[in-house]
Formats: sequence, C-alpha cells, structure tokens
Amino acid sequence: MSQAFSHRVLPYDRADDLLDGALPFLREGIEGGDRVLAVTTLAMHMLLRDKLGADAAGVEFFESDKWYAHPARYLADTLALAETAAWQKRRLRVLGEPAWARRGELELLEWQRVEAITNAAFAETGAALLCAYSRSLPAGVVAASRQTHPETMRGQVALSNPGYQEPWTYNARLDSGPLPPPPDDSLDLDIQVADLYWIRAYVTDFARRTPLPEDDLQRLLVAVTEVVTNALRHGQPPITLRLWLEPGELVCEVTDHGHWTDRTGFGLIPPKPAGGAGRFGLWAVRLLCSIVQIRTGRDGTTVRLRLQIPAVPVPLPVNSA
Amino acid sequence: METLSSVRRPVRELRPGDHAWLAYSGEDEQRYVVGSFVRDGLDASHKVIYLAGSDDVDVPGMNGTPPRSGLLTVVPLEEARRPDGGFDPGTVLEALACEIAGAEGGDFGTIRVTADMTWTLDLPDGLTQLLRCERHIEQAVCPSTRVTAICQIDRRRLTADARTALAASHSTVVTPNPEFADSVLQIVRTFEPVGLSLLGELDASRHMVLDQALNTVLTASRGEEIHLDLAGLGFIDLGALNMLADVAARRSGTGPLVLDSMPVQLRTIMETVGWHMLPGLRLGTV
Repeated sequence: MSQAFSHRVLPYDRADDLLDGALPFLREGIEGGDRVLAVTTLAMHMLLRDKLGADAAGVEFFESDKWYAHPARYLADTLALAETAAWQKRRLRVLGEPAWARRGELELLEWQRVEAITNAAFAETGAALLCAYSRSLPAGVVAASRQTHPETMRGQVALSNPGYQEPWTYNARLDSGPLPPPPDDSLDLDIQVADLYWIRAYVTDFARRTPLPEDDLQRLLVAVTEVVTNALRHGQPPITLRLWLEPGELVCEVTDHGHWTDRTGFGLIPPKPAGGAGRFGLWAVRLLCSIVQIRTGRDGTTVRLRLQIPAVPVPLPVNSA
Repeated sequence: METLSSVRRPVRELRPGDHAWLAYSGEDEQRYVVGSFVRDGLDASHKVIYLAGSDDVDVPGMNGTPPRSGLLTVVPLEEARRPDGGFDPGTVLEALACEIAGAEGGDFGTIRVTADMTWTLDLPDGLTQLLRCERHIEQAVCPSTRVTAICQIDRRRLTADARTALAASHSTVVTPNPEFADSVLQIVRTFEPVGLSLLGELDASRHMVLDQALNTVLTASRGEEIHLDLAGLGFIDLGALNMLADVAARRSGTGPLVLDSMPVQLRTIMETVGWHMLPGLRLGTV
C-alpha cells in the first residue's frame, strides 16, 4: 500500500460548498480505481449523482442514518472494507457525513471518540476519509472535528489542523472526568465466588421487567458475563454489579477495586481475527452494547454498559421485588 | 432420536430391570458405551455376562487388567454354530439364560448382560429372529430385580420398520455417559457425526471441562469434521467461542469445526460479534 492514509474534515455552510469539496475527492478516486463510497443523506445522493453524471456509476451510495447507526459496529464494518480493499491493492475512499442530529450527549461523545480512534485504526489501510460537517451543527461538534481530524479541506487545499490531538490523548481526555454516581435505587449484587449462571439469572430478572428486546437481552448477558469474568480474573474484590434504568436506557455497571494499567486495552480497535490466543473480549462487548464507559484508577475500575430500550411510558417498579 | 416412546438414559444410570438397546453408529460408539457398562460393573463387583463372537474377544472396558475371577463370563456365539455354518438363536439364548440363572444363584447384587445382536439379522428372516430373541431376553430381564441388559445393534443395518419394532421391544434407549454434567451444563460425546452435544449454559465457570471434552474428541478423531450440537445450549460466553476458534485454528488443514442446530439467540451474538472474528467455525445444520 503506497498511498498514505488521510482523514480530513470538510466544514460546509451550503450544499454547494460540500459539492465543491466532495466532487474532486470522489472523481480522484474514480479515476484512480479506488473503491469509492458516498455515505450521506438521500438529498445529497441526488445532488452528487446529478453532478457526477456517468461517473456516478463508480460510486457506491449509502445512507448516513444506517451507516452510522452504532459506533463500534460502524468501525468494525468500515475497517473491514478498508482492509479488504488494501488486500486487493486498492484504496477505500469514503465521503462520509456522520449523522450528528438527534444524538444524545453520550452518543455524541462516542462518535467523537470514533473519529479520533479512526486515525489509529485506519492508519495502516491507506484509506482516504473525507468527513463533511455542516456548520449548522452545534458549535461543539464542529470544533471537536478539528481535534479529531489531522487536516481540514478548504476549497481544494488540505490544511493541517493546529488543534489536532493524538487519538489516545483525545480518548483519555474524554474519560478524564468521573462518571455520575449510580442512582440510590440501583439494584446491587455483591459478587462473591459466583457461578456466573446466577449473575445472568439476576440480570435477566431485572431486564425482563423492562421493554428491552429479547435479542438485546442476549447481547447484554454475553457482555455482562465477559465483564464480570474479567473482574474475577484480573480485578480485586469487592466486585459489585449494579442495574438501573435511565430514560431510554438500561444501565449495567460492574465495579471492582483493581486498576488497569494498559490504556490501549479498552477494546476500542478491532483486534485481528482469532487464530491464536486472540482476545477480543472488550471489543466484542462494545459491539454488543449501545455504549460502554470505562473508568480505571487508584480508586478502582468501573465498566458501565448501556443498552437502548424502547421508550418506557411509566416508571416500572423494577426494584420492588 | 431412535424413538419417541422409549426413555433415553446414560449407561451409568441403567438400573436392574432395564432392558435397554444401543443402536450404535460404528465400533467407536459401541466400545465407548459398552466399555462403560462393563467397566462400571466390574468395578462394582457386579456379574458381567458378555455375549461375543468367540471367547477370545477383546471385551471393551477392560483397560488391560483381567477382572477378578468369576466376575466376567464371555458366552461365545461360536458354540451355537450349526453344521451348515448358520447360527441357532435358540442355542445362544439358552446359553445366555443359563448364565443368568447361574449368576442369580450366586451372591452377586447385580447382573449385567450385554450382547451384540446384529448377527441375528444375517439369519434367514433376520428381523423376526431378532425380535424373537428380544422377547426371550425381555422375559429374562424385566421381572428381575437384579438383571440389567443392553442389546447392541448396528444402526447401519436397520430399516425404519426394524427401528420401530426394536423401540417397541425395549423400555430404554441407552446413551453414552456425559463427559461432564452438573446442574448448569452437560457435555455428551456424539459419534455420528463425531463431536459433542452441549446442553445448558457455558461460561468461564466451566471452560476447563469444555477444554477436556474437546481434547477427548480431538484425540479420538481421525481428522474428520468435528460437530458440536448446540440445540440445547442456552448461553455461550466469548471465552468459550474463542476456545472453539482456537481449536479450529489448531486443526487447520483438517476438517473444520461445525456448529449444528445453533439456537437463534446464539446466532444473534455470532452475527453481532462477526463470524470473521472466529475463523474456522462454520454454521452447520440449522
């Protein structure tokens, strides 16, 4: 792979600005034999097709809402495409317009984390990634994009972002503050020499009184089992499992008094497929849950798993049993 | 599998009065199940009566050590050979009944009887002869409070009708002893296809027993595909999936590791995590 990886932000006010930056980027890929993707809104698909004319046949179009549905799954799928292209001596070239609208605060942070981690995860693939950010987005979103992308496109020119931060620095800063404490009425279980079977029974009893869909419950059970197994193997007692509900989310937290020292071991980058002693535990946990929050320090380690649930019309008496 | 009407019971759970049958898929399965039956019997000082082709047969379950004198009796089929070369079932059964009666006169708490009955299928009108033999054995075993019997039949020789008739003439289908069983997980060897059947839930509390069972199967296999029957598996953790992928990687070049009858909730997990993360694992029959 001779081409260098690039990850650039394209801020735009009007659709024409986006087209001015995107069209040369796409055409360069079509002419160069790249695998070219345009992941934007349907309206932008129409504009791009119109401007590209016959060249549009060399572009695969995807909708942002579906492409950017889940942070870890997005990263896994897109990275797989980039690696496949590299293996075929091709380059993956993506014009992306991440779906920032209607995201909650925590979700925004996870997507910003993905933008930062992209610089580490895709570095070896030689992929060319151009991310369009509307200036109508909340100011913090556009500002953050200048910290997570090494370069900004202005017209046809790529300029270095002075505020760019190394991916792991940026990531650590996202996690520098403490997590808000669990609510007083969380359902707590002290984990002694547990048979993991009983922990799953406990989580299942809680989740079955919420509208969490069955397949998400199965994902949660695999994720909780993995996190508790890690705490039992590598952590320090006491180990506590806590469950509670937040608006639109089921939250499951595992705390122990151990301290992780390897900051890159948070499962943020997909590991290479197994075939030796491939450990993909935390990475898989991120795929299984909506959001995973990790804090580790002298006071102990907390892994908080969040799963989206359909809206709950009235508070359920989940802790009343 | 063979029948809906019979009780399925691992060989170690057979009790006096049980007249069980084993439809084995090949010599491996036959020696595995019958070996357990013979070995457990000899260890417990039960009388073991073994009907065999000849009296110098390699009785399964002996582990190379001769049993205590008088515990094991081999009834050779050879002696029932008629001048025309065929066998006379009446003579065989008489010899068997005689041994059982003799043992009942002894001071054995339990008498274990086992015979490979496949030879009767070679007689003219084989199935009728087999069922006649079975009736004789049934009459000898079922009223007894001391006799347990396993009739072995080569499954490959049986028609559907024969299976139905045999199911009707036995109270119990005998299955292999589980490699492991507790209140959460059960692991049973399978022979056709070669592999394991997993029931219950599998996580780090029981990774060791999975590892042991996998090693047992790998050691016994001859490089064919290994199948895991997951129909009864309610949960599998990421660590166990990793172990399976490791086994598949160690076997690269031979047959893959095939996951049969995977329940829908496990497929959800596999699809979320991505099959490509677990190379060498293949989805088998649904």
